[in-house]
Amino acid sequence: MQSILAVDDSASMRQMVAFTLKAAGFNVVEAADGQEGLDKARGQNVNLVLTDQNMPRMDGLSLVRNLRGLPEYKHVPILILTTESSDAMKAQGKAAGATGWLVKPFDPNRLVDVVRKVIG
Amino acid sequence: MQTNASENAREAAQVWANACHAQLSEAECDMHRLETLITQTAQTLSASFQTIEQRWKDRKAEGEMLVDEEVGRAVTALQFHDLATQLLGHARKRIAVAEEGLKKLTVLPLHGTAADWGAPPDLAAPVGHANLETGTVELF
Repeated sequence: MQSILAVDDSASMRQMVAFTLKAAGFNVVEAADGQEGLDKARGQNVNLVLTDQNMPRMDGLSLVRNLRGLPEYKHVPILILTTESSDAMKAQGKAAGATGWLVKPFDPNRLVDVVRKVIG
Repeated sequence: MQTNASENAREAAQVWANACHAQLSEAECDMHRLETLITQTAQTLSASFQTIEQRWKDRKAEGEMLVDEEVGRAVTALQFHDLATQLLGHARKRIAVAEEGLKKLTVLPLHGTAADWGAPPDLAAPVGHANLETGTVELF
């Protein structure tokens, strides 16, 4: 079973993401901020990371940069799922090494389609 | 004579500043109450959703489940808590900036220097949504 790391400081968002992805047959590992996400990513074999941007301790862009610095996460797809929708923020995400930018709220079936597409 | 007039004007400005400060404080309290209500509602909905999720899971084999249209709509709608909380948090920051500005306006013209003013922070809104329609997807 493919494993997805879902990082968001909102418990309700994590619940909705986990519900959607588990229903589609994925294993979901949850983290409440970027630092916890980075710690959990280090110890697990993760096929995709789905992260929020605005979080305490470590934001999504910093998490992307940190993960891209790890050899095992150089090619793992990383999607940012956030309320931020400005072109400037998206450009920062792309520069940091994110695979895609999804604006909340997400449609569950669309999220599953995107996840399947980038996991390959 | 002129001193009296400027003192009267200063007192009037102070009355307005106090009124603004009181209104901003009340607005902050209102927002705190609203956040509590939203959080409680979200917790109730979340608990109900977990029950529904479990019952739904029991009916369908794992990996074969599709997110039904109605459940999908619920998943989208239940994301309101995150959006609302972020908006409230941001509105609080705006109130704090307004309060600080108000304080400077009533004190600094008499005692401060230009350097004391500093620049007001530029607060870019993290949530621009006017409704709960689903967001965009962009792959790089």
